[in-house]
Amino acid sequence: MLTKTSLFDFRYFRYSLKRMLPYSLVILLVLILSSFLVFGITDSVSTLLIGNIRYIGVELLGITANVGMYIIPVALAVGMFGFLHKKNYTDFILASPVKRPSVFFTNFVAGFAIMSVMLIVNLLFIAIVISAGENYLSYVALNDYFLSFFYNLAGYMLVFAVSSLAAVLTGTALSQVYMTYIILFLPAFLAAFLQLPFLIQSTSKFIVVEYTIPLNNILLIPNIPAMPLTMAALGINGPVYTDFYGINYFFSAKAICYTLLIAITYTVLGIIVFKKFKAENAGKSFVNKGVGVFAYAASFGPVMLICFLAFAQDSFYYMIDSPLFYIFIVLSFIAFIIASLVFNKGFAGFGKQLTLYLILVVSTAIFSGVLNVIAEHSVKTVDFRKEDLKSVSVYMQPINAKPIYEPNINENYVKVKIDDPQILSLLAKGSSSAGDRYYCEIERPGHGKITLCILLPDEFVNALYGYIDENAEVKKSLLFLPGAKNIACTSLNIETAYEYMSYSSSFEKKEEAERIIAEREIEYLDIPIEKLYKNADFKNRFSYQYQYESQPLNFGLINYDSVNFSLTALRNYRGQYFVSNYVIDYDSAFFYGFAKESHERAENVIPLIDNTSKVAIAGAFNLDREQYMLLEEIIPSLPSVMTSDFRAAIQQTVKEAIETTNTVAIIIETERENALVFLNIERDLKPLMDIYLDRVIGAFEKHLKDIANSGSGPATSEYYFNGGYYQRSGVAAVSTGAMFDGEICELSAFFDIGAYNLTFEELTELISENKDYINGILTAKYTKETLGDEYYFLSVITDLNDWYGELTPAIIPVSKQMLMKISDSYGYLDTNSTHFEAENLEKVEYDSTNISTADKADWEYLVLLLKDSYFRAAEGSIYNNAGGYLYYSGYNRPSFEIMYETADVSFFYKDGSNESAEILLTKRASDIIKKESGGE
Amino acid sequence: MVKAEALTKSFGKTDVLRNLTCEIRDGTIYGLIGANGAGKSTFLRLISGIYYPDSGSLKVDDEEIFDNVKKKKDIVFVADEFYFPTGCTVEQYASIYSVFYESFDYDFFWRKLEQLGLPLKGKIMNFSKGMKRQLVMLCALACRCKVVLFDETFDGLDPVVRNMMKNIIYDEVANRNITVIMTSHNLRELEDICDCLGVLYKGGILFEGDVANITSSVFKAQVAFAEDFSEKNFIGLNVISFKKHGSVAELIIKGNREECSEKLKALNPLLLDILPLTLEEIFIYEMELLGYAYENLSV
Repeated sequence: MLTKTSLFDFRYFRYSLKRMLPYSLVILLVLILSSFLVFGITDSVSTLLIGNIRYIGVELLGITANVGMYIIPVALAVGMFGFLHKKNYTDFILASPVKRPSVFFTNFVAGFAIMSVMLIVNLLFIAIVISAGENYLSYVALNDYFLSFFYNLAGYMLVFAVSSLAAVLTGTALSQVYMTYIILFLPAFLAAFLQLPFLIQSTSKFIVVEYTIPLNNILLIPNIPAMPLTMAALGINGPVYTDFYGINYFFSAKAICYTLLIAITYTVLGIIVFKKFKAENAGKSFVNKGVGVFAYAASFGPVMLICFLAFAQDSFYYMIDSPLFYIFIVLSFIAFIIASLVFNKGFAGFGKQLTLYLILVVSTAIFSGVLNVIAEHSVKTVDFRKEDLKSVSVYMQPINAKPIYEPNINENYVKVKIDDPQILSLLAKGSSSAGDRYYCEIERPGHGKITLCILLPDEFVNALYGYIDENAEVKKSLLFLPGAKNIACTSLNIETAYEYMSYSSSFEKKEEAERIIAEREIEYLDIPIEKLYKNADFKNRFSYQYQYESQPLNFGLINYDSVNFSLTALRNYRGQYFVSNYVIDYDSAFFYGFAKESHERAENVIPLIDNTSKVAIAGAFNLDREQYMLLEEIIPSLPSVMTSDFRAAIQQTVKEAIETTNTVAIIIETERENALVFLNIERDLKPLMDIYLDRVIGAFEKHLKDIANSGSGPATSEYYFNGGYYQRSGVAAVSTGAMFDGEICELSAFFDIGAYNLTFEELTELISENKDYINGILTAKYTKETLGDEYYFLSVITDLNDWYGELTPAIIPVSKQMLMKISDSYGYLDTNSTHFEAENLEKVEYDSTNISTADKADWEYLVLLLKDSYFRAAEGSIYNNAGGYLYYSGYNRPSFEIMYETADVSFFYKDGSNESAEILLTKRASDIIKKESGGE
Repeated sequence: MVKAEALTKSFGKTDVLRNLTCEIRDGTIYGLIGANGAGKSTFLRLISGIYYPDSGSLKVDDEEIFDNVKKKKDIVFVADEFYFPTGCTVEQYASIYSVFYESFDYDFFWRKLEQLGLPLKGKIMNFSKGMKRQLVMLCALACRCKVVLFDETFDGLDPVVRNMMKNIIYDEVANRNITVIMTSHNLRELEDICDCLGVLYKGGILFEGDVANITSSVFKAQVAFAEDFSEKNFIGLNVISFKKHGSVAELIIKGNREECSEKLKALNPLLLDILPLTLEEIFIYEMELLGYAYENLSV
């Protein structure tokens, strides 16, 4: 039974609820309305309930609540503890027969109850709205759905606790708000910025100035409300990035529990402080001078830290290059001005504080500079001696984990302890060649342990691998994250051509995932650890994705008995090259063999790529400049150093001549490497494409639901048109003129998006009706004559983000006629414009130089390039003499077009009109211009 | 009983109360007078448990007040500035008091409200200053506390309402034996209601006493004799002030009125006129006796 002398007072609780009711209703209304606003952003209001609303998933469910987390609890706390801001109200409450701790705690509970109801109502509201739209709610993972609610609730509780504490430290609403954000963000801010260069003892040859581990580890704390500021700090401290990347990390029970723990701590602190609260301070900015000084220091702190980092030796150049550096300086100065206004209720004393501010900045800079001079000198004298080392524990990342940056090492790395004096002597002795960087816990006699990040000598690492191979338990621990529990194999759960990019979870394939991992364990135990770590072994390995409980999504390698991989094909057709991405379904028996064969060839090629120079690859293939650049473009991750024996090595490996026609060079992408394999189109690719097309069609027909509910959401693309950004739904597709005269490699808009928007049904119909034709294109059945002048690629994109190639999982070639059937946005394809007819030309000018060739073929070719420009044109890049722009294109120029030079060419027609365009300066175009300008 | 011993309270560098010591008996209406800043409100806030004393002790019925819920149930405080929630009605306001004071007497509250002619409904924000004060005072009395504290008690009340309120307070003290401590900077406001009065000056009680005793033990006598006379002629009387205007002298005498009158008569005066003093006059003379100029107190 709770009484008035207990911590909780029910009568007072009821009073507080009643008091805050109107205030709370307004806040709730704002929350729900803002949810509507978010829905509205995803699509127009008219489709709110029937359109895209069905695709709103967990990510959007909490978005308003997430944003509100930093505002609503603060507003509520200001209202709830508003009695501390008015002297007469303070008197009234403190004179009443309720214990002070009870006043604070009861108000806190009332606020928490209000927020809980708010979030529940918001949650129910969203659920009802989504259900009313389309019955897709059941596809949303329920655990995430509710976890997001608890995540928000915990965050709200924490922010409210902080703001309540701030209320008893201050005496005005403004001060309370200010103090709230200081308490809330300062720890994370300090943690992010205090990664100061630290002197590290190492061997004399491998001195490393690195970030200190203990400070980094602060960032492991999933301090939810501190996230925005920490995220903002990421630009300065890259290593913390992975901690805060991926929402799964925050939607974890651990994060919630931790947040609750902090909230409780702040609440207890609030109770203690409130018990001592002096009523006479109500209405003042701060309850005492100490709190005021703290608030000032916190306001000035950021700029001091920034100065410190700026003058720190390792950070200086990074900092001055980072826009964040300047942004933070400006923000800190704004914070200073706001602080002055809030604390002093005006500009009184502003000049004095400005002086103090400048003194702090200058003195910090001087202090940092002095410290760095000391640091530089002291580092040189540090050395490890053999007798200094008792043991070294190397933090090693388990082989199945995605590379995780430093801050995670305690959680995700395995410590391999070496105390063998012989091995230790390798570290003490040093080496002429530094190996990789490792975190190590070094134990020294009489000095305890110190964790450092050092470059381990190769000799030491080799000995370390030997030690691991000899110790099965250690090795086994490195194969899996310790204590991790597999919950889903995300890349294996949707049987569509889209699985490559699908991120939705499913438990249906759990057994299969476990089986795969079990097989891998056996496989890996037989392989020397060094090979696994050094990527020397590529046998039977392809990438896959998996996820452990409460861990970010991981990418792993797996044998191709359950292969899931993508192919990027560089197609050589009659001297032209085309690129296509293919996603291969993992359960097709055909691909097992295909992948195995391909990869076995690749196995020996990959190391060669590693050691081959860029220059040599062009020479080896006899590629011209365009072809070379194309190759470079499609193999973005190709290592930069190559040797001249590249081609010979490939031929030796594949033991057959590389054909230059009807050959596809396939880039096999694994998690860590790419490999080129050359395949005959008829022999190797045709059956592949048959199955591929069947899969794509099947996917469209049968798995729309899965696609819609995949983590990537539906196909929605953003495009720029007529000065504004628009979004389209459905399948975003792009076409490009690909064949002009059998000479030009034309890829102009290949990866771009937004030209077409189809529904899945439309695309299915298009492909089904033209299967043979598409296959013909893919497998070179048709010649230039049968194809006509042009064919196009439809690039199926099912994600908003167009920055990544892998988000283009299906490439469908189509004819002009097919394209026109599905397109209504490129009406010019129907236009019989005289401007596209070479015979209507009177002259062509290139860079003010008259080119008046009699060669009709040249004119026709230039007109083809003009036509191409219409496809690729950036806004306003084509204009005519009639005034204004002739054509506005809706798409952005693909980035790799920059590999072509362009030429400004004006076309003058017999009817007196003219138009100018920036055409690609192809080899032939260049030859024409050279020819007409006398070889210049 | 409210008992303060060596009570000290400072705000920053300013000592508002310095070693204040006093005792207020149960069932008393205690008036505390003093200039602005003398420490009257601070003293009340200490009794109500809003402030915590820097040193000394403050007890009600031998128990410390601060954060003592059991004891605070017996104390209600009406500050000189009131808190009214925005848009609050009379009923809502009373209900707030009832949250904190379970014994809140709604019957008394509505009855007295009606008696005073205050609106029973409507928003308080539309009330005049005097009406607001009446409302708050009634709420406080309805709480049925043993100790009621009124700061600047009758400020803003017209004479009629002031008398009505005084009657209500009288009745409450008479019927329920409650202790009322009220402050004012105006002695005249308190003289006809208080049983006991204390003068607060620079953080300490300068002078205090029962009103009945004070008024009956100090009086004015106007005398004249056939022969010349001076103050020395009145040895045996406690003359605290002697002023002679021609042949007539004005004496302020402290003591039993009857006895003193007899002693004066024994001196065969040509004129003897015994006159009562107002409380204010008594305070003036007492202050002068203590060496303070009454005007400095601004009472």
